[in-house]
Order: sequence, then structure tokens, then C-alpha cells
Amino acid sequence: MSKAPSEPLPAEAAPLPPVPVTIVGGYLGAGKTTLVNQLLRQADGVRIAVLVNELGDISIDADLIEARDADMISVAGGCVCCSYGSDLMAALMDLSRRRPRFDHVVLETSGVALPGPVAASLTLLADYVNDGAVILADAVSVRRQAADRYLSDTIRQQLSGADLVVLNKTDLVDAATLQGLQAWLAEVSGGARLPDHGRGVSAPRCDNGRARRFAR
Amino acid sequence: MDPAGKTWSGLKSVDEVLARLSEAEKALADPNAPLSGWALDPIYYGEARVSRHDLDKVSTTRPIGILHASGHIMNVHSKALELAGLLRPGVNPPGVPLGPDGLPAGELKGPDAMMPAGPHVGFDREAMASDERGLRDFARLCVRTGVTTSADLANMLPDEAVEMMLRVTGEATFPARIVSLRRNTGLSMPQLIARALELKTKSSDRLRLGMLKFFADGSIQGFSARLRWPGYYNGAPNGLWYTAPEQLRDGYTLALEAGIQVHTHTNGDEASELALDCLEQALLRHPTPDHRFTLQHCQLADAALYRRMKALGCCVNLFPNHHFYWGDQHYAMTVGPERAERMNPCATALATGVPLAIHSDAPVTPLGPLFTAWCAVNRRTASGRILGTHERISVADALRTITLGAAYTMKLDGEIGSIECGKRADFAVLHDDPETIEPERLKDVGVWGTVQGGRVFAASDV
Repeated sequence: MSKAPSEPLPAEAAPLPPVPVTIVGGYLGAGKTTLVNQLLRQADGVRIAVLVNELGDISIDADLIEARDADMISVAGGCVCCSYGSDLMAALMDLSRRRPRFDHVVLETSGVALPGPVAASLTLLADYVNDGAVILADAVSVRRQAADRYLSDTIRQQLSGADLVVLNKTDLVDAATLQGLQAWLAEVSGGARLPDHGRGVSAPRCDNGRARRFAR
Repeated sequence: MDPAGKTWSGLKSVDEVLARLSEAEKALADPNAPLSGWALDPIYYGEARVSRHDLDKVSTTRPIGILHASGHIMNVHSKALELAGLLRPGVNPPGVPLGPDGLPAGELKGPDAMMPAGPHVGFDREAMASDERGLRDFARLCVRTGVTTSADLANMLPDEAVEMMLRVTGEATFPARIVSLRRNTGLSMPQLIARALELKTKSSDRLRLGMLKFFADGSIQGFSARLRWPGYYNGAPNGLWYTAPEQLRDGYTLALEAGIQVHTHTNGDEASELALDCLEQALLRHPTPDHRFTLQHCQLADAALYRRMKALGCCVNLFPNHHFYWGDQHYAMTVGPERAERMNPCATALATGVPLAIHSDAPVTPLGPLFTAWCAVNRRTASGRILGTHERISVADALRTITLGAAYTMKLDGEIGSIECGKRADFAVLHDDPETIEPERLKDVGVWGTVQGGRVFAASDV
């Protein structure tokens, strides 16, 4: 982790509009890293800061990387990827002091984190505004996980806290299973948007103005 | 008791707290310096809560922050909220209770809520992490409470901290041995194992490195521990996983392969069961005799889980201080009477043959092995209730548990934990004989000081 500066926050001449934050969650293997790579690859001039729990657990495509150190990976187009470890709030505060500012923050949560508390914590920071929670699900294993004695409530709370559910690995299940899965997800996620999951659905784009449409 | 040996009296009302804060405020020369307090415990103030308006009476210009005894909650006043950007409408996470005016009332609960205000009131990350003065002060407390080896079970251990700890503990007069475990944050499991192996090579006599600490769940009084049925007594929803099950299992497997010992934080019984499931799977992949993986806190495990721990070769480090500090709350609110009476079941652990240690979790509750032993022997709550007479243990068992028992869980029992030819001369020197004093008075046994590695340290000299 980078160190918190000990001096007080610099006073801003005029308050800048808050930076939108997209929360990306879902259990291990649901495709969070793939989504992050796609977002960075398609950033198209939007400066995205990706915050991940542990840099060691994410693999950014080598051709996107411009430089890296222990805490941060610099990505082509002014984007970065950094870890927040046990201190998400501190990482967000550090990030808000960087200039030029980022246009958008993508916050990848750990596989067992719930989007609700993360969204609530964001209200503590005036520099940021919640732009919605995208929860990814693995078509092959999400129903087994949702029935697991240890994970059931965590998986269900992740899905019910979603604004948008993205189903991955749909090419590994047959059409009838996919249909049943979509009906089940609609019920469990309680009103989240479920894009039409055709085969090989692409990741949602994430930029100012567009990410909002993913929100409920 | 502070490191200089002064025992500060407890404050039983908000007014007493405000009076002591005002005293401390007047002693600060710099008008802009923050006033930082700690160890506030509102459980003792009945229904009353400290509000920002209360603390505004102490100062409206100087930032004020008071950390609660649990370490999980902080009280701040209007100025500190303003500096943190929190004195505005729209702030509404569960960790920030609002006053009648719709603005934060002054309590910040949980690390996320405390973080924006922390740096303004003297509690920034550096102050909360291991610092040189903190290490020296802690060692003085060790001498005063009769501690010769202490486990530090939640350190990030960056290189700078390791260098500082090696230097300070290596000084000729540093009076204690520290066993410091790297926690599973910020690194993937394979990276964590590599880091533990690297740290192991840096280990010295008074700074033991190379073990890992995993976190499975949160805390019972914070309702973030993972409980099995019937869950929380007051109906609160189940707690949170801090590490995914697959990661725990893979971490254990890699650690067994690398010969790295792992201690795991599990407060709730569901977390303890998950840890045992994961350890069992890891042991099937990589059978390891005498691994001594240890469950830390493990406060709610039942007898069946102790039988599994025994079968798997697991040790346990229980937290009897909870009986005294939060036992009444556990009885009435968190887990209810039946489970409160079998929390931290030292007698079951010993009867089942699970290697047992007990701890204070300092600074969550004060350092003091004889007090912790008293808690295990008497199981008395702050209000005087005996919480589960059947789980009390004898003074002799308690004394063995705080010495050889603890050493065993760190694989140090060949070096320390008993006074034997060939082992280090590490022991406490007491004013009273704990074996003849009444068990109810075990916590009152006076500590003259310690002998550590053959060096004599008088409490009156540190």
C-alpha cells in the first residue's frame, strides 16, 4: 500500500464533480479479471482506475501493461490498476488526490465481498459516487455455489445487491440450462438488469455517461 | 495500566470522560494538534452514547477522536467530521449512525467509517501499525505483566517494519521475544507462501518470523463472525467471510507443502468448521505429521468440532477474556445463554486432548496472562455471572496453558514454556504464589518482573 500523506487534504478551488465508481463483484472464477481486461482494452481515452483486492490475484494482459511496481500497474491510455488490500477507503482517498483525476473507478471486490456494504461505504467519500454494482456469475457453477452450505447466503446476497448481472461461460452450458439459469437469476437478483446472454456476450463498457445505463 | 506502570481508573460516565479529555486538552501546547483518546467503552454508560455535541464541549477548534476499547469504533466531534467531509447529508452507511438532524451523530463504526476521519484526529495508518515507540512500550508492558514471549498475530510485515523490529528487538536490553505472523492481505496465496519463506530466513532469537495468519471471518460482538444455526441471538444476519473457502484450502495446501505454519482467525463456529474442512482437504493432499495449525479465538466451537481438531492435529488458542469483558452481552444479545456458557470451552479442549493456549488479543483487552488465566479459571463476567461452571479449568491447567501450552502452538515448546535444563531461562518472577493463592484472586498475583534469556528485568526499572 502507498502511504497516506500526513498533511491535510489540499483545499480545492471549486469542488469537482464526484468520480463514478462501478463495483464489480462475483465469486472466484466468475470472470472478474476477464472483464477488467476488456474494460481496460476498450477504455478508448477514458482514464480508468481499477482497484483490485490483491494485485497478485489479477492478471492484466501483458500487452496492456506499460509499467508495474508492487502496488500499481500502469496501463496504456492513462489507466492504472492498483491493489487496496485491507484498506479500500484509504486507497480511494489516495486515488482522489492524484492529478490529473481519473474519469472512472472500477472497484473489483474480493470473491466473498457483498456489494451493499461497499456501496454504503462509498457514501462516506464526497469525491465519489456509486455508479452501480455489476455482479458476474459463472454459468457452470453459480447454482452449485448458491446451494453450498458455506457460500449460499454470500452468493445470493451478491446477486440481490446487483444492478446488473453478467453471466459468463454461457457457451459451456446447453440452451435449456441457460434458460433455467436466467429465470433463476431474475428471481434471485430481484430486479437487476440481465442483459440477453447470447453466446460470447461482451463485457459492458464502462465510461462516464454510459455506465449509468447499467444502473437500475 | 500504561507502559510507565500507571493504572488509570476507569470512567463510568460521559461527564467523567469529558472532564478527563478537557484536562488532556489543556495540556496540549499546539492549538491545532489533534486530541486522540482510546479505550472508551460505552457499555459502562448504560443507554448513553457519546455524541459529537458532547465532545464539542471539550473543543470546537481542535480535532478530537476517541477510539473505543474494541478498536472497531471511534467517536469524533463536529470539527473532525467537518475535516473528514462527513458533516453533510447523504452519508448513510450502517457504520455511521445519524442524529435527529440527519447528520452523523459522532460514532464511526468499523474501519471503513473511521478511515476518512482517522488522519485528522491522530489515528492514521502509521499510528495504527507497528511503530518503534509502540514496540518499545509494548515490551515494557510485557515485563510488567510477566510476559517473556508474545505473539503478534496480524502484521503486514513490510520490509521497513521487519528491519525496525529486528533492530529494536536485537538491542541488548530489549526484554521480550516477539513471534510475528504475516497476515493474508495484499498478496495471493502463492505470493504469501513465498513471502513467509523469505521472512523465515530473517528470523532472529528475539524476532521469530515465517508463520502466517489467515482470516476466515469477523467478530462476534461486531456481528461479522460466521455462525451456524441458530445464528445470532438477537436475529442479526450472519456475518461475513473474509477469505473464500477455496483460497483457505489452497493456502493450507501450499503452506503444508512449504513447511509454513498457519494460524487462522475463526470466531464463529461456522468459520471454525470451514477451516477444519479446508485443513482436512489440504492434509489429504499433503499429509503432514505434527503441523500444529492453530485456530485463533475459535470462540463458539462445540464438542464435535474439538473431536475433529484432535483428529486433524489442530491446536486452539481461546479467548477467555471475552467472558469478563463481553460475557454479559454474549449472554443477553449475541449468542444467548446456552452458547455463551460454552464459549471458549477450555475444559472441553483439555478433555479432548486438543493442545490449548489462551490469549488477551491485546490491545483489544489488556495484556496480562495471569488475568487471562483467571478468566479461564473463574469464567466470571463484568456483572459477576459465572458463565458455564462446567468449562472452568484448574489453576494448574491454566498456568500450564499460558506457558507451555502457548509455546507448543508456536512450535517453541522445545525452547521455552517451562524451566528445564537446556531451555532458555525465560520466566516471570511473581510476588505471590499462584498455586496457593485463592483461585478467585489469581488476577491479583503481583508481578515483580521477568527473566528473559537469562537477563533480569525488574518491572520497577522499565
